[in-house]
Amino acid sequence: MKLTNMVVFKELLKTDLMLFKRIFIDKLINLFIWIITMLGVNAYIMPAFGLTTEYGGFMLASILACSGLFEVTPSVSQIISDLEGDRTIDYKLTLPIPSWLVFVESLVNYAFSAAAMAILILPVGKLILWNMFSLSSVNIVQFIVMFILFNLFYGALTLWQASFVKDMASIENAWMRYIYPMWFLGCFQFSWDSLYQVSPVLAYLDLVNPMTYITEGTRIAILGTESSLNFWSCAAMTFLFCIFGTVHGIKRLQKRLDFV
Amino acid sequence: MSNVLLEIKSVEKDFGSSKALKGVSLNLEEGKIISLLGVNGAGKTTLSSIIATLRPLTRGDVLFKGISIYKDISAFRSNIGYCPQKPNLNALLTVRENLEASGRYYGIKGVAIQERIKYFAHQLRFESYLDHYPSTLSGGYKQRVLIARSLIHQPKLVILDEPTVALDPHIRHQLWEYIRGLREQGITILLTTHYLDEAEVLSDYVCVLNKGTVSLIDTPENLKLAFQKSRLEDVFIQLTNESQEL
Repeated sequence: MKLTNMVVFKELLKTDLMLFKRIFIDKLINLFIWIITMLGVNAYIMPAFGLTTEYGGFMLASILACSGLFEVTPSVSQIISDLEGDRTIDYKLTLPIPSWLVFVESLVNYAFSAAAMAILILPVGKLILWNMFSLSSVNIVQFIVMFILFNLFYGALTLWQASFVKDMASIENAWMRYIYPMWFLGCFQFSWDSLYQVSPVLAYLDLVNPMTYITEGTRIAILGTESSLNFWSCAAMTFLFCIFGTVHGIKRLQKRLDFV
Repeated sequence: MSNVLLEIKSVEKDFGSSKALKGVSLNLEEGKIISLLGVNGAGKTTLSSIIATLRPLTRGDVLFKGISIYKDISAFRSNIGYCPQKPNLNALLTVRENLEASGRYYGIKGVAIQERIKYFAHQLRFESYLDHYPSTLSGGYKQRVLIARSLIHQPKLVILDEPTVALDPHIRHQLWEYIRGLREQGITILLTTHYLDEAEVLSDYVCVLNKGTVSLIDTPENLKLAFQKSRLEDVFIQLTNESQEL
């Protein structure tokens, strides 16, 4: 890769981040409403139904791991509306940079946007849960590894999903048919071990769901929980899903947009 | 032609089973304006988007100063400016921000980019719209900004895809004047147009595409002489009628 390619890459990212800065406050408000609602219910109301107070911490890790998933659909909508409308992508594809790198830049932008929001979840969650969650249980190295990986995964997922969503009308189908089951069955509200106790078959089937590794890995990193899924295998699988999503997503987009 | 800047060699483009371009060969001479003419579906936009590296070709090659553009596509892209038919400015950035971003992509920053923006805004008469968002601009002003964006990095070759489509006659004439000025600066221009008067006034060479092939290439004067017509439009109509009869 040439230096000029990296200059274009950096400047494209700079433009995207400038645009992200303009909507940051709105996104922050949305995020706070989501965290307060989810943690408030799970930590303070659900124990009345027999759940332990530790469930608040469990859900904090799940919310952190899954927050980027909720950035995927709006980002895919943006891509599709651009393809159906202004096609600003065409301009980017004539810049002095290999076309595939334009999409990698978009991936990094989506990952960064997801990370900028997700990083706030831990301190806000601590304030809400207070004594129910201890920051001392966080394994910093594992947390950083998982944090980077799952945000990159959401970037890759955005590209991958955009590559097969036909039009704006199909976005809801993508959410209901893929993202929602992936999220809800991806060990968001339960651990993989508890799923295994209920149904080993379902638990093994859930191993094809990338969210399983993301939520389990994040919980191990933040809560130090015991899991049959080892942290590093969760990280490795998340990485593999990132690579798959990126390569397959860009290839499909290349076919769809017919770019060089 | 001498001083060939771009050589299009037997370019073919397939879209599934249909062939949009069937072996187009064409040379673009340095500092000249060449117009691509043809009825809808003749392959004008397909050819210009291939030259702009927006679409890949199926067979053939495009040489820039004798070297295939696909050997180092980024280097070739640094030398071209592409003004698409449909305005595709970033709607979330103002006109100034759009142009600043474009400059930065080519390594032009600070005072240099501000000066260029000032220059183009003055030349193309959109100074008062610099801090407006593209959605608030009329079609004519969007087109001017698109032209400025395609020229901001001083490319050697500019591809203008229907730059004056749906514009008022006086704005078209202003843009013609500007396009002629670009030629004086030594910039090579590939112009795709539906307007025969535009092609006649601006072009050094005219290339007529028909069903994905080159029907003929010549100067507007030679074409008028050969077909014994006073206007390029009449030449084009005769050519189109002849091809339909075949």
